[in-house]
Amino acid sequence: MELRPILSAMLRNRTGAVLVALQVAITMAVLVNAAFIINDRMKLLAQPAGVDVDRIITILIYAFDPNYDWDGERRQDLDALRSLPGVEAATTMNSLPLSDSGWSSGWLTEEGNVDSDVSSGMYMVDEFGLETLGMELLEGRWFRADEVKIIDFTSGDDFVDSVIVTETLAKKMFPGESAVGKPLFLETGDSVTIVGVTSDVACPWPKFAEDEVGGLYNTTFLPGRGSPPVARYVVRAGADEAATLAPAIEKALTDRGSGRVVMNLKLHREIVDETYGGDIAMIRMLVTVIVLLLAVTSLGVVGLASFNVRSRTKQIGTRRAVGARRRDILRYFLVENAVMTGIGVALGTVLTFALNLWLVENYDLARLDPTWVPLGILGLLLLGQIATLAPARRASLIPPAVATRTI
Amino acid sequence: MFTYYLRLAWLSIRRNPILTALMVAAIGVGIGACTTTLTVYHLMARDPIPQKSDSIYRVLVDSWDPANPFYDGDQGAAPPFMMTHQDATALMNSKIPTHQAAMYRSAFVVESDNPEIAPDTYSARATYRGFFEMFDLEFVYGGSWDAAADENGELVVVINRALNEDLFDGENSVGKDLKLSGTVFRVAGVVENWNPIPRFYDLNGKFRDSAPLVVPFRTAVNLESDINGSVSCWKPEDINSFADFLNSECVWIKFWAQLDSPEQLAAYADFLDGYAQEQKVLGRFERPIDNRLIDVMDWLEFRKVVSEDNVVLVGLSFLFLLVCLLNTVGLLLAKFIGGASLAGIRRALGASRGALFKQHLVEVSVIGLSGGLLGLVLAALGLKAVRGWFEDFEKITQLDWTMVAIALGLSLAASLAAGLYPTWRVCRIAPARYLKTQ
Repeated sequence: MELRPILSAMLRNRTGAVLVALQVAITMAVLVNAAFIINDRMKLLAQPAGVDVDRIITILIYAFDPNYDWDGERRQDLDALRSLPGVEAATTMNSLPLSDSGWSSGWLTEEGNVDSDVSSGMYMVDEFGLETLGMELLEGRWFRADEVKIIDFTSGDDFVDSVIVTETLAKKMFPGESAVGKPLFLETGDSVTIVGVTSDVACPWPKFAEDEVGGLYNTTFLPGRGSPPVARYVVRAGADEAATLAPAIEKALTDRGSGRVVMNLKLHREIVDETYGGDIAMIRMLVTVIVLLLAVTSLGVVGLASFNVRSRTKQIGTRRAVGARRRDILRYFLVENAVMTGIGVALGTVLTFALNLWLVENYDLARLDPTWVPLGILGLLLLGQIATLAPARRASLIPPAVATRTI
Repeated sequence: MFTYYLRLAWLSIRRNPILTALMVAAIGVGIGACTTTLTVYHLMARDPIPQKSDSIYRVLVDSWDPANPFYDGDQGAAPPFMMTHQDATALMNSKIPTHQAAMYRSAFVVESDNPEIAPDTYSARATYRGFFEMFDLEFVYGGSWDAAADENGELVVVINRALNEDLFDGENSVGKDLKLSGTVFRVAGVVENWNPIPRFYDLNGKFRDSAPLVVPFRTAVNLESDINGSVSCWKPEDINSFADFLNSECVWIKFWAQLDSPEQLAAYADFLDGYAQEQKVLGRFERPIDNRLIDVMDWLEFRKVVSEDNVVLVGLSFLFLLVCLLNTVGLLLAKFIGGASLAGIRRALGASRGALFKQHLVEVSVIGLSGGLLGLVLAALGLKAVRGWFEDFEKITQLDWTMVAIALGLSLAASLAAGLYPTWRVCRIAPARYLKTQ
């Protein structure tokens, strides 16, 4: 292979090659790190909520009439909702998985021993919670209607008697044995009994779960309802019916009763997307940066190759005249680009790790998985070759006669 | 001479329209990306109350769990960001600060006498009258409630201009009745809409608007108005009523004080110290004394209002701009070397190197500023897209004149930097070489 003449030509006209190599190097550093961050965020977004997010609709009632019949209105509201065609189930809850707002608290697995404290996210649900949310009951039973009490932060004395925990929390509290039937204690001395274990349901805070409760799936269900003035209804729609059902739900509640404001009608999916809003925006911005970056870099490669082809027209004609075949010319430019890009990715590898180091040290980002680097190298080499193809083809079409046309 | 150079630049640009367009596009997308990310940064990082940000302090005292600090993250251990009801009430009795206000966010349903206006919920700030003076709120009608209203929890409310438009058609509503969640309040004043970005005094919703209703703290507490913000508790306590809750160790109140002089600051720090000692004697404040007075900008930094993601994006977009500039250097080189014969002729006819240098830099600046203008258009589009992606960004994606100036300045500086080497190369050319071939 005629590497020597290529190298010596490049050495004689270094600027272009240096510019391309530098572009490739920076592009690679940004590309690999951005792709890595995107991948990280996708993993965050992919964590399952554990409930049927796409079938759940939620709406709030804000009661303001001092004579509002809190319990009666709730019962009638839920009956009205259940009678809507397309509604499969309805319940009340204090908050929803991955909604970024809710209640967390700790249980003691051993009475009076504060070291046995296990934190979890707390959902207050009634007897219809299981069928509405759609997780699986793995062990024990779900709540009965007579267990459900009004809970607010002042209901210390009349606390619930039974709770249901997720699989993950059950294993954390009672490794190797069944959690059903086990008592849990509050620091105030009250105790409750675990009556069931469900499949994993996420707590409200996907990003603070580790700090807040020690894990995303550390979740407890309590048989409870909130006190005035705000009630949250959670409705389960038939498959693919959530979006079309939402307006009917709002209307049914607005038409019924006065003394309250019906507000915040939302699909659970929308709420989850809001929680991840910053991450979704970050992903989109990084994708935009990557696309623009690749476009600009390929344009740079095309530009330099075209310039080289133009300024070497005579030279190429001469080479053709003395016997070089078309594909030799094509290969010349492709190899030239491979050498420049090669230098670029070598430098780029160093830059990639340097940039990642800076990101890890200064910001809360993960350390780069090194297997991403060869992917970046390969991608950029390929990009360089594709970008060079058109100008190189044009070069290969230069007729040998060009050599003799001018002096 | 300058206009002559401009004319030469125009001619040169017309000679090579595609190459020029590519350069303008390269600088444009680079500047567009940087301006987009910088605008978000600039608005997140800005001083929300510049006239006073160094004399207003967030007050923290450490009433937390003796076993664990409230916060123990990458900024070290810190006392609770919020305060208990008993501490906030006690601190409000201090006469040292120029102004002070404990506060929390609540909500009320507003029922209008006008049957056409359906009842709706509005967020409310429950606070003390110091809120208005400390944060320089401007009254359109009336004024803040008096000290007695703070003391006795009177049923008075201050509303903002926007709500006054909706409820009272913008007329002077002072003295009128307003029904909030079933209780009749009297309007004491109407304030100008005031939406500092970020909402430094309550970062729970840091890019959201201020509450349109402001009511006395005591009034809201007496009504047991719900708390729309975080409540954190550490101590196992039997809480069976709202009164129990108020006396508990749960923290939920934000406390701000205005301290204008170093003496005042020192006196207030002493006061807090004395208070903490007193509480220790009473068996509270079991942690080491850790009172903090944090001014507005330090508070925003401590709470990381500028998201790390945004700083990372600013960094990456500048690397992107660098790639665009390297690209431009290559394109400029191609262009200038391509036009070297003309430069050779001008040199031979007596133009000095300096003149040639200036001429080419003028051309580069024209390209750079065009790129900058394109960049501004792209940034406006980019910001519009970003606004649609994340509702928190709504308030922080507006181009302002500072950003326009920064974008144009940046594009000029960047293009000059990119143009320096190609210009130098073309000026170094010996004229004879290009005269020969003609």
